[in-house]
Amino acid sequence: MIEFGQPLALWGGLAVALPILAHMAYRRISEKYFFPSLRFLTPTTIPRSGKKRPSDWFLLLIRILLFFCIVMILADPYWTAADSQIHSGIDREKHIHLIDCSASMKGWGAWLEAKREVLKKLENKSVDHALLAHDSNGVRFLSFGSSKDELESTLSALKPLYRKLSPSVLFKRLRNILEKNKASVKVHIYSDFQVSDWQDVQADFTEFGVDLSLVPVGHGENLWSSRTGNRAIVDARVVPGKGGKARIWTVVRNWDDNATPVQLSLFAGGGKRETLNLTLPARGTEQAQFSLPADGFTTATIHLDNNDSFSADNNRSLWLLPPPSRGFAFRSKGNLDTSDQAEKEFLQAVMESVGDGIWNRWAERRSDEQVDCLLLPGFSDWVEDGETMAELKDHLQAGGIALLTPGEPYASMNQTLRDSDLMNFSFNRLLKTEFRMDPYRIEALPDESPISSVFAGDSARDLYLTKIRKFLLLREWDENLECPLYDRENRPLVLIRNFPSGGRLVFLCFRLLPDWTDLPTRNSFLPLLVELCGLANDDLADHQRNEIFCGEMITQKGESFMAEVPGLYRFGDKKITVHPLLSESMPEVLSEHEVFESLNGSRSSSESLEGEFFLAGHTPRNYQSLWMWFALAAGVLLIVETMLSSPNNRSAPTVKTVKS
Amino acid sequence: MNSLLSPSHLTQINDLSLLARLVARGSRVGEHRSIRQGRGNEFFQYRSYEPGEDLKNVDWRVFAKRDQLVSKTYQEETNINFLLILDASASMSYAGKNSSCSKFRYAQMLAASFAYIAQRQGDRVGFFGGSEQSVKWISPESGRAALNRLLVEISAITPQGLDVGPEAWKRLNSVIPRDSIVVVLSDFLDGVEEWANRLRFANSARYECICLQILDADELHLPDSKALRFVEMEGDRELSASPELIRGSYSKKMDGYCQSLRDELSKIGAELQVVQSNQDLGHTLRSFLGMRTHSK
Repeated sequence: MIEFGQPLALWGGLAVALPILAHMAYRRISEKYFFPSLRFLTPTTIPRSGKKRPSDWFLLLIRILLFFCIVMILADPYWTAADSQIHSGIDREKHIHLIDCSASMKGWGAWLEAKREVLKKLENKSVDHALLAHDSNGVRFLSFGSSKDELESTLSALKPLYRKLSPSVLFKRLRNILEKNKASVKVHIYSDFQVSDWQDVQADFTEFGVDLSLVPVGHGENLWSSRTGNRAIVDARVVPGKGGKARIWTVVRNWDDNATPVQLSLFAGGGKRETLNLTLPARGTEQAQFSLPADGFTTATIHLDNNDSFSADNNRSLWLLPPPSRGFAFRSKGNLDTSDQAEKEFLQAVMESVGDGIWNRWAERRSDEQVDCLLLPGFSDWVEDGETMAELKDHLQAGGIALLTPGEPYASMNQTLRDSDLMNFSFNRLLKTEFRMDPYRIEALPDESPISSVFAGDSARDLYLTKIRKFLLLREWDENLECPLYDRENRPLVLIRNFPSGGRLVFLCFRLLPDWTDLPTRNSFLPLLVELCGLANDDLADHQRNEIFCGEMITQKGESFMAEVPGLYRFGDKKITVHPLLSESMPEVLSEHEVFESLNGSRSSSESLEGEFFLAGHTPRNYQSLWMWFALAAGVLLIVETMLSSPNNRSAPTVKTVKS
Repeated sequence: MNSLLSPSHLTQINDLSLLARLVARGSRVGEHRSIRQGRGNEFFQYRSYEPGEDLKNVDWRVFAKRDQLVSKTYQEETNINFLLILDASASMSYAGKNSSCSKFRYAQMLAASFAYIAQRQGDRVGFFGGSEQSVKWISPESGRAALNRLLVEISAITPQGLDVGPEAWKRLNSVIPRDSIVVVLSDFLDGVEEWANRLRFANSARYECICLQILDADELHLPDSKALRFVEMEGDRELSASPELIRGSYSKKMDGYCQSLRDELSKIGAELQVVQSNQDLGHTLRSFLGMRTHSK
């Protein structure tokens, strides 16, 4: 059966009338006749030719056929055996309906439109249909041979997720399906072709000869052009405010080209607490702030009252109560002497000062509670007693932080560390200054040091003026130990061991006591301790905050939490906030050309359905282009026509020039 | 009429010298006047010595060999100059549907024949002709070598462009030797006054001017066709006409032109005869000689 890539070109078939009209009209003489002199000639009206000779009818036929061939060439004809097979019932044509279920399909009526289009195509019973889409468990494929009821029920069960779903995953699965199917397959892709989902797509099905058909949905009347009508809450944070209140800071974005008034409402404790009227600038953002009693409500929800095209980003929920504080604990020998006690109290004050005291707090835990930081001042062989060593090892393996200061006897301390395989180093002796006026000082941090960026200007000067009167003079240390701080004679002052689990063991070669160093009394001490111990780890802070986006996962104690829908959740002892993906709120869609580029094709032919196009280079294997045959026929006909229509004696005499 | 002298046969002979001899002998023209034998420069033939004849003419070498008195006769030169004027403009290249050769080819054959006959009679033969692009002038000379040179020049001419310009005609008027017979071979379509001006030398009694207007049959009666787009051969003018409709008026105009041309030329002492290019060449030569006798 002949099909046409450009069926509209068949209207050009009307041009066949041209040679017929030309032949119906009487021809006029147009041949030139060279004559010696026109002096005695009088111009006259040219009489029209009389009856046509049979040769004229042949010429007419040639010309009609020539026009027919040209029209057929323009219409891009190809022969397909598929339809004949369908009608004979040998092998039905196979269609795969690939449906985009990303979050952006929730807006602009895209999902309903996609379902409508799929249902329309499922009506074609001469085709073997299959469905390929994302669902919450991954990729869902309803294979060929499924009944129409199965297909429709699967389709009705599908719904767009809140995640960003890359079509590449579907294309990867599609590739596997095509590799198993030897027959030609037509793939319909139903998507809004939203830019964030499609911009990184790169696929090529040329080798399978698959016929791809793009069905843009949710584009409205202007296919393949960016959409409008979306406003979104793009950020919301709770920060402690004065007077026991919590301030809720919100950012709202407008994707339209016009300034738009919106109403922003705060819901807490089961009711609307506050409403703000904002005017969002064109393609810009506007900030808003709400205020609530900090301890009055557990959660709050901000709602954007706006009938926009994409409603999934109009709500943002927040946990109002601060997250639990991070814990630290001391492990020390049973009978503390005065210096041990002083160092412990000092470290306790330091740790409680590390956070902001409100949202990011550190607090001392009891001995049986899990902690983030373990402090062991005056570390020595006393840790061998009881379970302290085992606890320390478990703590480091679990990703915790531990800070050690040397305790007497130092040789036992060194031996304990080596035996426990925590730190392997050796030392010469305890280095002491002879004179109080001649202390050891910290060497300037090299540029490549991870903490050099923290200490610059005044804080660096304060650090380098630190006096160290006593410290353990190390001789050798393992390569897995990091030395972030040296004295001015290049002798290590701190050793750090980082564990694969994320745990960190920090060993100070000096104690935090006034007769050892004046470091604790300096402004640079707290930031130095935070940096050395990694107490300001942002990941840790985020982890503590537990704010994730749809599609992300949190794992704790072997259990995992998958963020499916935006909202507030409890997972173990964690309070989790799941935000919608902002990238899915973008109304921009890829242009048709960009989609074709990403699919390694170029548009070659139009499609009878509005908004549906084929890809070049994907001509099915059962399709045979007839272009070349018609071009060949047109060439032959043109030659014959030229020979027949060339001027000769039968139409008009020509001058005979005889060479003298 | 000898059919061998028809243009359809003669046009296949490329050698103008041979062609001229064939035409002259075939038409038995040139015999109207015996060659003056006497004190010329060019040897003509031997003949038996007649008693009383001047002994200066006896070839003593032949006598020594054969013991027989033989007199040498010489071709006596005349004082007549025979000047051929040949039009080689583009319009002369026209060959109608029923013609076997173009007007120029016909004129070329005629010119060669005239030259041959004139040379046989001891006349000095000269040539003027060509087209606007190329004008050739050969002053009249006698002798076989001069004839051959003239025939080579005539055969090398190709009709093209416009007719010879007025400057060349003016120069010709000043260089034509006295006692010349001038034969003009052209289609004479440039206009009556134009030709009267060109041939004004014919007014003088020293010149005898004979004009042969060579026309194709189609020029006299138009070709057989319902409609044609005529293009002028010596210009770029075009004109669409139906020969069927205008044939009568055309022939009338053409005849009128020829008549007025004949009248005008006769006023200056030139005689015009229309010759069709499909006409037997021998017949044309005899007509020419008749004209000449008549004019004498």
